[in-house]
Amino acid sequence: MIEFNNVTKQYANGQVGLRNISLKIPLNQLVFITGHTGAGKTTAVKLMTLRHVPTAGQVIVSDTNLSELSRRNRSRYRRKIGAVFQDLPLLSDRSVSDNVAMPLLVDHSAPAKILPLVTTALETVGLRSKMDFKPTQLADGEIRRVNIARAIVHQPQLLIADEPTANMDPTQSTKVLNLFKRLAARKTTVVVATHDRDFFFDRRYPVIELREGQLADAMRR
Amino acid sequence: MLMSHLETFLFVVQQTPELTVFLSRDVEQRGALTVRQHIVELPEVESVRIIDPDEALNSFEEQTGHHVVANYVQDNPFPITVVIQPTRAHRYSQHYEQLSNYLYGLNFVELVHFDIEWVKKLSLIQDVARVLIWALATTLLFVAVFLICNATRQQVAERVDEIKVFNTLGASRRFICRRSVYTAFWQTVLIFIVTFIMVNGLLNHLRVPLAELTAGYDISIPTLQMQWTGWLTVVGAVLILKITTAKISVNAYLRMFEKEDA
Repeated sequence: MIEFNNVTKQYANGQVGLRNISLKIPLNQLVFITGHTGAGKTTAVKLMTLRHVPTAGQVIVSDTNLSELSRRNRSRYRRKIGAVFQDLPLLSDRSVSDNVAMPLLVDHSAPAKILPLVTTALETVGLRSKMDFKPTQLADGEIRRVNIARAIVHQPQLLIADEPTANMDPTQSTKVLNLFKRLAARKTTVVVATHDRDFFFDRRYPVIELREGQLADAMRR
Repeated sequence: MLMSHLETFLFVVQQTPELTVFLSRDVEQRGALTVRQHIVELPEVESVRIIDPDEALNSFEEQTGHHVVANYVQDNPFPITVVIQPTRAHRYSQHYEQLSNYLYGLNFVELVHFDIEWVKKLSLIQDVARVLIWALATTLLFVAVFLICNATRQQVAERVDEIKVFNTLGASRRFICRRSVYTAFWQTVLIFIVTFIMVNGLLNHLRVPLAELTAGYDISIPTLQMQWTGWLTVVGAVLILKITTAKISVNAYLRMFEKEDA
């Protein structure tokens, strides 16, 4: 279970990202966080990935209070999860496969395991044929998919994605959604922050709607 | 190495000023030897050479070309002359004056000659050269340190996206620093190889003309090569400087990301 207990996040410039939010996200399924621009979606996912720390309250993932982790354990936590962020670029001087392999390098995976895992991840997002390309040779939508491959290559138990379908055409968006559904079916917790309402059209998955940093609509099915 | 060579050079130049002591005309060879013995025992004297009147006359004729002098002069007008070279530590103007005063007090000494202005100038040149060399060496050191640190900082700055991605993916600080540390190490090795070839090539090129130059002064400069201890010190200092700068720069970026995220 991922829990937000009275979480407030105020930035250094005074802007408030989240206001006193409490919510629970069940594990091993696909969950959407939605809302308009500035609603607090990115703040929420950054709190879950430890890129932010709450100004007040607690973020608890699998009974671990993230605010209480030491620096070493924060790094360990980040290595365990998969994250797709808009502001986390691919490295332009490395090939697509080298970019995707980065979480495995960080996790000190055996060299013999790296290539098969990278190939599988790129195959999953439909970009195996472009594994030797440089990111500068890819379209925006393809860059998004490489980002997703980088997030899933080490087969994390928790995948958090911020606007993963931005700049993608509807066909590719649907493929990404199907990928997330497959991951959730394999007992991976997938949290997707998106403003794309088509993305969660069938309402089979939990949706958390944020509005101006507050919970607009509590957990619903 | 530069200072060592400067000292050697100055030693060569300092050989020029000597004291020339003209003895009384009535002093014969035996008396001259007694004076020589007396002078050579002085602690401030390095060597003493006697020039007898005949040698002085021959030398005068050779240098002036007046070979007929001996025909006109019945008696050789030159006295016995003693040429004194002070030790290296006693080649300053005040030492020359003290030694000159002492020599005037000896029996048989008619005239003591030396160029005190030249000695004073030489001391000044020596002092100025020493200060200039130190200033130059210090400036070069600061410039080298600045260039090394700045180049390393720039290289880390070019990796800023990589540092951000690795940090977000959960890499430890040690892991993030590793590539910069490896780069620093291999660049130092490359700098060492290039510098070693350049310095040794230059010194080898200079060795022959320098040997010819110093041969006239009957000295050699055996230290015209950088010792291994010197190389190790320079390489070690560059390596420590580059690695430390790389680590400081990477940590500065990590702190910046933490601040941004806060």
